[in-house]
Amino acid sequence: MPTNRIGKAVIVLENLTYFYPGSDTPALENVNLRVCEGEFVLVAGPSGGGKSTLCRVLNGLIPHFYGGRLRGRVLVDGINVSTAPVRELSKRVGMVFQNPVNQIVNVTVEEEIAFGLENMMYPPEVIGERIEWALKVLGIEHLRRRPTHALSGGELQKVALASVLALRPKILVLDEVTANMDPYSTRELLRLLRKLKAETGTTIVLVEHRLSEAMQYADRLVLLNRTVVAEGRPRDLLKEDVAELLGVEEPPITRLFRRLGIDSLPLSVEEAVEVIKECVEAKR
Amino acid sequence: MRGGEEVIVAENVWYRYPNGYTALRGVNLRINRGDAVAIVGANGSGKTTLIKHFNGLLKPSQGRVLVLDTDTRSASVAKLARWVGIVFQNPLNQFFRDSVEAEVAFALENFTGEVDPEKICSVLRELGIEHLRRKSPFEISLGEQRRVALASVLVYEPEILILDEPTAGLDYNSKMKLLSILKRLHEKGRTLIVVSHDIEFLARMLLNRVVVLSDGRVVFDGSPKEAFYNVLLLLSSRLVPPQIPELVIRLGLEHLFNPLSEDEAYDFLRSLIGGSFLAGRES
Repeated sequence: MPTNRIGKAVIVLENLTYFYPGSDTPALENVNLRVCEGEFVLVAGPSGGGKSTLCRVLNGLIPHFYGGRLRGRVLVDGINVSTAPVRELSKRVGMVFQNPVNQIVNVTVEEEIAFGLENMMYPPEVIGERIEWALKVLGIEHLRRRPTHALSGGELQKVALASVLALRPKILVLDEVTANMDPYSTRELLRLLRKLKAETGTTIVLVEHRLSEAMQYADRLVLLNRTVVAEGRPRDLLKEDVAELLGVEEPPITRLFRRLGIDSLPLSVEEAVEVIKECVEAKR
Repeated sequence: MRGGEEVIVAENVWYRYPNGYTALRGVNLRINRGDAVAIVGANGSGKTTLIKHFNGLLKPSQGRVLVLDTDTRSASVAKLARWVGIVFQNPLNQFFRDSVEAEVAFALENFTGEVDPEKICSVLRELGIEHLRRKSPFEISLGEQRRVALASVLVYEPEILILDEPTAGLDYNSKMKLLSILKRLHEKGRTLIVVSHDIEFLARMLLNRVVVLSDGRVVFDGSPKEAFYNVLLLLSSRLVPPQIPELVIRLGLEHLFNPLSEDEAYDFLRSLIGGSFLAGRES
């Protein structure tokens, strides 16, 4: 399938099949996927379709923490996930989970962001700079000295993101992180991810149910339902009309354009405006 | 004043957390019986703090909250919970039974005294989690946990139903089911309050009011059309319009029509671009 594969593959999944302990049905079955350096991949699929499982494989929580049976090959930045220690992976893969409560361990926001940096033995001045930067890009400078237990769900999510982004990982894996974020923050996060990708070549794997906002930023859309059901440029996949069948929410403008019988399906509202204007011109 | 119709009244409500942070700064809000209200606002604007006042989990530092004419300061949470069912963002905080079925059964029996396996089954079925009924609520996915939390409130049909971020972690099919469940409850005259960032979901819900919170204050209270077509209000409250209103605004057509969903937009846009374009396609 044609995609803009620029660099070398940093994530390689070959015939990956995985069973959670005590389960007879695989959570992932025969998954094949390559993600290139600097690629922005959006992963969508129904609940129970294996999206979170896939994320756990990418940072080694599967199989090292969860156990279970893993077949096939998983290489992340050249490292074999099944045999490498989790520590090796966590240097390369920054991961933020759906539920930020699970990953926040420190008392204040500032300490939380400093925690990972200190573990990686960065010098104090670098730690200071990274904290400043992370607070700023996520727009949470005002939360700096606030206790983490008194933050709202969305604020916690931003703190979890800040503490991972501050580590500048080569690969970012984000599992439905926007679910509790306000719409404006979601838009800003997506713009930030695009910028990181362009400026530092960060590879991004973003799991999302809602495609309305995220689609225009991704190089590739992967639809996962235990196995890769479809993949390709977001625009091409929309045309194939597979998303909604799979329990993935299509943007309202896509549904509208399809009903109107307009062939060129827009990825953003801006694009939709252009297309409608052209249609009106053509009518004259 | 239509006293009897108001089911929740917040009068000049201030709330300061024990650490000194002031989350609510003089909220005034009246919810009428049968309202379907969305409460929206930026992260940290006070939405969750406010709804915790509606079942007495939090009591105002200043001002007062009346639920069905009862001051929340003089009623127990257990009593208020019979009238006000809240499904919180983090479902794990509310589970304590060892199976999904037992969890839902407990809520039903506790609040209504009823033991009705049929009713439990039908709620689980409606939410697409019937197959999980023997599983522990702790071993299922977050999206599934949210549906279990929802089931344990839906099952006893409280007079007032409050949902905090109900669509987070739900896939499209589950969302559409939730939409139809909410519609049915609305038609039965229940009062619904939904706190959500999922603006596209809200655009599809049959809401009669949108309340915008900003920095612990109510900055807007009006119809969904007024709210979702008010770009200045939305941006200054860190919100964005749903896609269909944004499309109409960018086309400069908002003075002609104000659709919220693609269904409402279809006919007008079809006639706008229709004629030659579709004729060209069909020939």
